[in-house]
Amino acid sequence: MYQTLLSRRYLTGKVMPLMAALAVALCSAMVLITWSVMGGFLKMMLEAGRMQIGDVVISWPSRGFAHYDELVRRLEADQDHPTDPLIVAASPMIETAAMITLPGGAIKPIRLRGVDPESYQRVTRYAQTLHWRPIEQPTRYDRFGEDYRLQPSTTYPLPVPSPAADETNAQQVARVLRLRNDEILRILDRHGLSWGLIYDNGLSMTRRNDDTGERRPAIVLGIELSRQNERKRSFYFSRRPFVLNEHGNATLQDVFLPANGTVSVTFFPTSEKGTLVDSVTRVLPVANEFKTGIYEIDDNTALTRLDVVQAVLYMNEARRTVGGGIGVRPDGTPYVLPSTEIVDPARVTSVLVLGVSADRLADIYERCRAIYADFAADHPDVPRPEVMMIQTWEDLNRTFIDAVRNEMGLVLIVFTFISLTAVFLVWAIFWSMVSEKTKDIGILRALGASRRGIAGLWLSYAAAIGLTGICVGLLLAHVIVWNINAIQDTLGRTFNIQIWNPEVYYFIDIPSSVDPRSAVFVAAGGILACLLGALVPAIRASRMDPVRALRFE
Amino acid sequence: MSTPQPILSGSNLHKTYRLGRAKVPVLRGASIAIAQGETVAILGASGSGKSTMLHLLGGLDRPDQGASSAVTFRGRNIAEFSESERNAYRARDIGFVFQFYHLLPELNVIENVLIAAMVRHRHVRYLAERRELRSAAEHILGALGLSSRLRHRPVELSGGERQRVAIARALINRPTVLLADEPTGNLDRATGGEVLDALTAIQRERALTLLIVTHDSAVASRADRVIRLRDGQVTESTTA
Ligand SMILES: Nc1ncnc2c1ncn2[C@@H]1O[C@H](COP(=O)(O)OP(=O)(O)O)[C@@H](O)[C@H]1O
Ligand SMILES: [Mg+2]
Repeated sequence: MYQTLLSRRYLTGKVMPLMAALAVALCSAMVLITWSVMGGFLKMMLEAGRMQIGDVVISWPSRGFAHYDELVRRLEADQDHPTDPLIVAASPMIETAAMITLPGGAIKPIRLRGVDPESYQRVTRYAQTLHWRPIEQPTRYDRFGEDYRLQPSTTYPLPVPSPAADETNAQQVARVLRLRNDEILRILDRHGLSWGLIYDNGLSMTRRNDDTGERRPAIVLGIELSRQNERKRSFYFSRRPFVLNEHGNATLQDVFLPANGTVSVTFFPTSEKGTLVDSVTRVLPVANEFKTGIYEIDDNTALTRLDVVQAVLYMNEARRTVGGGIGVRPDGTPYVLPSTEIVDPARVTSVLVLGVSADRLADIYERCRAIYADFAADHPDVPRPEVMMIQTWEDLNRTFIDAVRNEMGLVLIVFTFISLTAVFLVWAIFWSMVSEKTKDIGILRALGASRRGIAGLWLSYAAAIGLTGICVGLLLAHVIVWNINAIQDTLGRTFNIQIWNPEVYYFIDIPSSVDPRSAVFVAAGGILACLLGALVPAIRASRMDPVRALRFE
Repeated sequence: MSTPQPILSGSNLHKTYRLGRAKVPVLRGASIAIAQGETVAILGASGSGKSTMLHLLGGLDRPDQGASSAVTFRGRNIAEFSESERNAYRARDIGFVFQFYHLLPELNVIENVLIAAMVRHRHVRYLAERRELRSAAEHILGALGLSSRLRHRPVELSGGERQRVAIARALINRPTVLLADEPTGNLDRATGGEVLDALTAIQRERALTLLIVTHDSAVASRADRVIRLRDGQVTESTTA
């Protein structure tokens, strides 16, 4: 009882213990912030990875494999598995390298995925990633309702950008290049479009031709790919593409990609032996743009309809005639040779599979193997199960995930070591406080306090310091983590410092949630560190000779 | 000696301090016996071992090993006490008052008194009896004329007031024996007299056994008995 009272009084009456509490607060906040951001980063990686390709990918790159429709059917039939259905959906895909030419003339290598939009959506939840769509509420950080996608009724009065006095040259250029909201709406209007229609275009990966009125296959670009989208925290401004004339002057174009933009895509079909046959270029209208949040994907991936890719890569169904022609009998009379028509079935490079839950990845993987083995047994013309590439999304991202995990562990260890300084600080402060309070210890002993009670006094005092420090530290960590993106914005605006470069860290937003389990762990660690630091001083206090302590001046 | 069975006695007390290699014998076979309800004054020159004797009697220190020294409380040798019995002995049976008050500077007056009760009782017990203990503390402080100073810190009090707080603290656990080490040694004559008056009044009221170390003969004159310490021994015991 006296321990509680005294430790409370010692805590509020002195500066030193508050310093110790502060040290604990800073150390615990530091560890928790690191843990939260890196842990959040890893979690986002994992979730985004899964959202991209589902749980398992069955693939045979380049050449592809046939009868994929049947494989998809067999995989999806697993839903009717009598005891333990594991597979939810499957979708065929061709993944190939291509070159894209953007409005304005920039050429970039990309990873092109030909997908069947309907089943692809079921496996990957692709619709959630479509960026251009109607939204009801302004997104986080969009304080002035500048986001184009807001319905006109919810749009705030737009601040008309006006040249600021201290505008840099680059800022001037950016302002001129940026399409204004009214300009965007005008372009949409001209093409009979709305955000809802653009969203539907994204879902079906088609766009209506203004002249003929017919729907044509279209492409969906990663949001960072075109360099036409200027990122504002949680939404994008679109920039006008421009071309340079022979005098080096820029001509601005009134192009908003999902409304009237087109790109040309150059494909590289290969022969059976893997040599380049001939490059094929297709002009594709842009249907929409997607944002997974993983910079690497958003910067170099585009999606289009499977049939388009199959056709240009010669992976669609083909009929050819074998034999035929004119033969000559030994007696010299000609005759018509028998001919057979062979159907080469359409092929894809991969089938994506979504399972029931990420927790059952191993089971889902095994089920896919089994289904593929059955499938291959019925089809001699597909790769054998032993050589077929069947991988989980974890396998596919293994090196990357492990790297992040190791990095996180390393940083945590380093910070925990740094936090040991808090232990020594508490030690030093307690050593001097015990010396200073020697007389109090003598008094308490004279009043009948036991040795253990005296040790308990200092330990409960340490716990009080730890608790105070931890509370402040956790609060600090939460405030910082929750606002980490705003802090990064402010730093960027005020000091031109960009801590989080999305090109390096993949994610556009810094993870900003605290895992309660890590918080509990850090709290326990902090209090333990305090107790550890106070242990030796507490033992010293308990061993003091009360008479000497009383005579202490 | 008025009663055959003393409540607290020290017999043949030896205490030697070591200063490096040198041995400083402070007590050399001092004996004392105090009867229940008695007021005894110990006189002696500075450094004669008065405080040392009080510490031995109060179980705060131990006599030299080897010598047949013994402190006996209610017929039991306190050397045989277990560690927790010894703590309980200090908390419950003995009250200490020191020359330099020895209050805890972070606590206010009432807390300084209650802390002795907190030390004595376990957590739950203390909480259960909190009200009674608090009113007991207020009562004692009131009797000592400190009703208006309950929330003051020791630094805000005069020497006499501080010593009265220390007395209240020593009494809160209703000890049998009060050991006062020069309680007026740091006070002027008038204040010292007041403190002493208060102490005597309470001693009468509670039939307290009181052992006062002093070198003030005025203090000694109030005692039932006066004992003198010299050369580590009790040289004289006079009955008033
Ligand atoms: N811890 C100690 N180490 C060495 N000498 C001590 C110690 N405590 C007390 N002394 C010495 O013992 C003697 C008696 O001290 P004390 O009992 O305080 O005397 P009094 O209270 O009569 O003035 C003094 O000379 C003092 O210096
Ligand atoms: Mg003394």
